[in-house]
Amino acid sequence: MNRNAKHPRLTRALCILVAVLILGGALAVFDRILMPKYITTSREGSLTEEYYAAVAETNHDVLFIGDCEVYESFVPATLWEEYGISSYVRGGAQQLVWHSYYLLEDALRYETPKAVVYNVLALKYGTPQKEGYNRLNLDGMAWSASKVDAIRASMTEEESFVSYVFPLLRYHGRWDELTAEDFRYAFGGKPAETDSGYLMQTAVVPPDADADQPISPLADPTLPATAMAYLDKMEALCRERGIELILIKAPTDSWGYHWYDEWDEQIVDYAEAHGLTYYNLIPKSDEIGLDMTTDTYDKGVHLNASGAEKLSRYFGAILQERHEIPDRRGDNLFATVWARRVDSYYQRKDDMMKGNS
Amino acid sequence: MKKNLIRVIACVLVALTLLACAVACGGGSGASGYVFKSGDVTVAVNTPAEDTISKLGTPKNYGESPSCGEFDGTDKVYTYAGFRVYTEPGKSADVINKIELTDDSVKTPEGVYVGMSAEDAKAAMKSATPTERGESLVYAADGMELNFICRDGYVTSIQYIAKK
Repeated sequence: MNRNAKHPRLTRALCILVAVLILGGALAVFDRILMPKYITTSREGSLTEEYYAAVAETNHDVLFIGDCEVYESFVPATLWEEYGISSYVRGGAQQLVWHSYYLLEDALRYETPKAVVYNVLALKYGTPQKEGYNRLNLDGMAWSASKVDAIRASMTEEESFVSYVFPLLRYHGRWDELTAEDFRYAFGGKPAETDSGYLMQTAVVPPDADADQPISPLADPTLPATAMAYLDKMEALCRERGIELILIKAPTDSWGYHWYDEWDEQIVDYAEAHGLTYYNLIPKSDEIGLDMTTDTYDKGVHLNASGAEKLSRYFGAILQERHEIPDRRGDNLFATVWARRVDSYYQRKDDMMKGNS
Repeated sequence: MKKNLIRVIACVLVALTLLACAVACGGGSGASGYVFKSGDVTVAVNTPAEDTISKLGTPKNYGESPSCGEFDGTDKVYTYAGFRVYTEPGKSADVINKIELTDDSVKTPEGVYVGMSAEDAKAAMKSATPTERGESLVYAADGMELNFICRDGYVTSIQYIAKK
């Protein structure tokens, strides 16, 4: 009589365990392969994830959070070169205010910056908009209570929480779109797509005749209460942690993303009531030196690298002079990391400019 | 025993297939709620844009705005005499997400036009009850809102807006 026959229950349990482990392992492998890698297309999907490697290298005195108007407008490499400011852009495509809040809460698990700069455009949205943007902002987020809360706050009616826990449920349909990069980077090793959260664009596409579309009046000029409640939470979180919250509106103002005077007045009032500083940079475009014949890659909707560098030089001075953000260039630890980041920025810029020409 | 099990599995699979079909085929694309009519053409939010835009003919003006992110396509605005049609990328094609009446050369099927008094606009909408937001009147219906934006007691803009 062999040993297994003596312990049939144990043998059966072991078989089940091995089968479960094999099945679980196979699903985990499929999961990693099928998850979008956000390299060749939709590079914005890399923004959230790349923060963790950056903060493991060094801390940041300034965190920019918000939508495309931060990750296409502020260049941390320029802020370092010009002012010695250590900063990171924790932005995301159509990053709504609840995304921003929880991404900030997540970031504060790793570091405590001196200032958080929040771009206010997304306050116009009071409800989740599109599943695709939720994925771009949340898939790359490390698991924590903040991520759980972020998913719950962000899901559209068509989404389920479990599909964030098991992305295979969401991405199984990608099997016929897989490319070599899905296999190559399934288990890590992805190249960085951003420079400290700045997503570089070097093309020059000035606005054309259709840029000046009439602006529709607002049916309801009040910024949604849900959005303002998250701004309250952000303000409270920063206050509790001794961080200065600075509100900005990026200088771009196209018909598709128009910043209404009625909204501006509410943010001015909010900032005053909460003792915050608010910079509406739209009227400062000339002072910044922006020239939309050279400084935009998509007809004025977003800045290209040329425009973002100009804005970063302008805003860096404000951060240092009015908000006492320190110059870290004398600190070897910061200087070593930032020397590499600045090199990487210019390397990417050269590569992309060659690609454009 | 085995046959029964196969039957049960077959029933479950059929049920799951029907459920999947119901989910996939849900959210019809027909017009619902308030609609605007330009001549014989019905223009409605939450409906595919291509056919409507083609029927409306060449716009007087056209504009594009890329989305916040590369993957999501382009928002568009088509300007016609007295009104504008806004579209955004849908799951498979552009969808009308806003219609704005800009002057009194056009009116809603209920007879409301830009320049009409807010009181007359309310009367034209008959039994429908609006929500008042500031001076504006909002008529909600089936995933959309019809907004009469009013200033100093008069309608200054009429907007059909898709609600998410």
